Amino acid sequence: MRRAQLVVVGGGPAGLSAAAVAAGLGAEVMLVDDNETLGGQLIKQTHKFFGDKGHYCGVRGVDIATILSERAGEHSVTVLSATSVVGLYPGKVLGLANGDSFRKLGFESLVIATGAAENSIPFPGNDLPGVYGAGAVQTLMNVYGVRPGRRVLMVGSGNIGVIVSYQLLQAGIDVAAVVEALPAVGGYHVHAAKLVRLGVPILTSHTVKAALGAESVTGAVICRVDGRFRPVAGTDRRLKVDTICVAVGLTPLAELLWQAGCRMFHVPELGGHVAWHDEYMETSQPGIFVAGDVSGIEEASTAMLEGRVAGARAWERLNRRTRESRDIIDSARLELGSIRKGPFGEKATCGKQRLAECVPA
Amino acid sequence: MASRTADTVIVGGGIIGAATGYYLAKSGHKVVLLERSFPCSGATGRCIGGIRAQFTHDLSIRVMIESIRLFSELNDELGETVHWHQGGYLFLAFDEPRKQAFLEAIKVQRNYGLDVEFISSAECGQIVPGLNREGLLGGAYCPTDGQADPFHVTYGYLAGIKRLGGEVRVDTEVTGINTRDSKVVSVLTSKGDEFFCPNVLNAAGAWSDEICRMAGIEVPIAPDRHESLVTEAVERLFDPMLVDYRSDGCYFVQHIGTGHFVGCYTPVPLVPGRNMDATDEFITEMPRRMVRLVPKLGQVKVLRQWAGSYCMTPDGSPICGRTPVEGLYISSGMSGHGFMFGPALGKLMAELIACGKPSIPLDQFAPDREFGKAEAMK
Ligand SMILES: Cc1cc2nc3c(=O)[nH]c(=O)nc-3n(C[C@H](O)[C@H](O)[C@H](O)COP(=O)(O)OP(=O)(O)OC[C@H]3O[C@@H](n4cnc5c(N)ncnc54)[C@H](O)[C@@H]3O)c2cc1C
Ligand SMILES: Cc1cc2nc3c(=O)[nH]c(=O)nc-3n(C[C@H](O)[C@H](O)[C@H](O)COP(=O)(O)OP(=O)(O)OC[C@H]3O[C@@H](n4cnc5c(N)ncnc54)[C@H](O)[C@@H]3O)c2cc1C
Repeated sequence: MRRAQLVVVGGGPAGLSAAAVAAGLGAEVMLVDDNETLGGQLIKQTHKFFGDKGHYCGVRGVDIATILSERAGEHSVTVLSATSVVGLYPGKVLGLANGDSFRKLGFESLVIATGAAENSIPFPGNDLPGVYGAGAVQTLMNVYGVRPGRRVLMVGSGNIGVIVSYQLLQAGIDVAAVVEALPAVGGYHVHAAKLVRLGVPILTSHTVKAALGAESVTGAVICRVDGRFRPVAGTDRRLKVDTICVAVGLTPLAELLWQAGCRMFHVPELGGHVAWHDEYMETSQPGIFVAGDVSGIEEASTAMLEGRVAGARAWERLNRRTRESRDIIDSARLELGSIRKGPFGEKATCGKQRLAECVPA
Repeated sequence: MASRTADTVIVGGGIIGAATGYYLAKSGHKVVLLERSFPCSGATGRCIGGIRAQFTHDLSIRVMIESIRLFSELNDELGETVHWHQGGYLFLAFDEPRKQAFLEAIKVQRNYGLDVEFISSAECGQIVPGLNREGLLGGAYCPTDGQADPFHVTYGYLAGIKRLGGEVRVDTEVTGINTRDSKVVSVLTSKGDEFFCPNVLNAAGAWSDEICRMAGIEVPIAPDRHESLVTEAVERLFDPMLVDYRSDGCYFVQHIGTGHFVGCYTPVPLVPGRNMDATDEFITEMPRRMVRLVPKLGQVKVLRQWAGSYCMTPDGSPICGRTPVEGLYISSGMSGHGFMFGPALGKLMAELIACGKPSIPLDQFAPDREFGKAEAMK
């Protein structure tokens, strides 16, 4: 069985940053990602990135993916793409699946940067073909060039909901409406305003009640909800759509952390169960680090910074603390602090605070 | 601290606690079942759902014939589809001593009216198309054995308890048992409640020694780790559970409702303790063993693996009955067969607790028995 000094699981912004930083410091790094192309969520993000002080503001997500992948390449990170990490076993062993083959990979230190999975909500018909997660629709359109349908109902007005709605319009697909259960739009104003300008109604205090159709989606029933998210009688409305896109948040992909025996806590502000970690991203299991959405749902800018902290700290753990590693960690933490002070950092800050107060052992 | 009363408090929400609780509730007992985590979180949710009457111990055969009768009526009894299917069990013999042992067992089993026989290697091949018969001498086959879904069975029983007026409390750990003059008085929980009750049933599986210790009793159980895996669903290949007792053998079955294969093996040497880590050794070894028996399975993908505890006793048969503390009963030490024993032992233990006498005497499973000859078809 092959053994690597540092294995990074997940090639999104967090994992790529961790791998590049650790390799840059001199670690022998292997990066494993289950997609053909590195970049994680970024490869389908054709929009210019938001964020005020963070890295790459104004650059398209897909271009950030290319920059980060090149950087990892320059530092001679060994990449195993199209390979899933399917298990973490006692004795610091990972199980890797690639096509029909299964093999093992040992590690001394591990960074888990697996990102997040899309949430769903229960409603009759939510298993009909034509009901998608918004991220899946984005992948179909922007990565594979496939139109998911002709007329879409978007459920959820967070950033993902509004951005994907806009990209649907760009692809020539109708967006019948965006429904949002909360009384206010969740996403950034710029993105929501673009939709409204193009005539897409954003219906707040509304939800999807049912998907209609026998073989696949032929329509949707929406309705108003009260302050406690209960449907208001007599407000049902039918929309003729062939696609329902669900953008109701993400949950950290934490399976490997559970398997590692990390202390896990449920922190709603971070999207679900997350591993306790210290300020250097190290979990309660020595030598196992987290970074990015898996450590709490945030955004690409913070994912990259957390990745830098985790990568540098993992290297320090394997070697020793140096001026260089310290500088990387300090500056990344400083930037993280300032991003999280911004108006949209409040939720994550609150979640990270809550997690820090949990007792790891 | 709230105090409440019950006729019987049951510790543990696995198949044993759920089934016994159901039959007790049916006989009119006020039942409170306390589960530390969630139902099926112990061995029950980790088992592969095999059900058979092919044992060597007389009482096990009798209890299992009763259990199979109960399984076959369970859909109606519980108003729940439990995915009971009589696909049989086929124990494979690859050497002469094993064949002789099976022939011995069959003699005993047939005495109880079991429709079991030793079939030839060619007949094995007919029942299991694609079976690798290299070195196979034949097998002990009983078509009335079968399978059911552990989750549906257990949740069905629990729903029944509630329907019959009992209570099921999850996330509630039993933390103490109060006794006076060697008699049960009450049960304490992690939620701060105290339940006053004349009877307590210890159905805590691999943790039942801890429960006994709360009342000052020792029970000779020894948990060990068994691992398992499930494959993707495929078209129906064959019906019976295949059991290969060789030291590098395994056992597996295709779930009738879904098409998934599930299987395990008993590691050599055993892995004692309640460790439930899934290992890389199992995930590489188990598929190899399955494919050796049925080469076609080489094309089927593994979905998931996990581990659970077998709760072994010195003779490999359950420990069921009264304890030296009056009112404290135990039904544990299922030695890897608790799911299949569940319905019958549930009914019999309910009879013992409610009326003092089970319809099939359970003396040979009594906690204070001499642990003698071991069950050969473990
Ligand atoms: C529509 C949309 C718009 C967004 N817009 C912005 C924006 O404008 N600005 C911004 O800052 N953020 C934005 N984000 C958020 C940002 O994309 C994420 O926060 C960021 O990608 C998280 O990075 P990550 O590295 O933690 O995870 P991911 O990018 O999700 O990468 C994780 C990678 O790990 C792989 N993986 C997971 N499990 C395994 C496994 N077991 N084995 C192998 N590989 C595995 C995944 O396939 C994936 O490639 C947006 C998100 C979406 C969905
Ligand atoms: C891999 C594997 C495969 C198996 N295959 C089969 C098979 O094919 N057929 C078969 O018949 N059997 C099989 N078995 C065995 C079977 O799973 C067990 O014998 C059976 O489930 C035992 O049931 P139980 O109710 O006694 O224990 P459990 O299901 O373990 O239930 C005990 C419960 O007690 C709870 N508990 C513990 N302590 C406390 C406390 N202090 N307070 C409250 N609650 C507590 C636990 O949380 C647990 O839920 C298999 C087992 C394994 C591990």
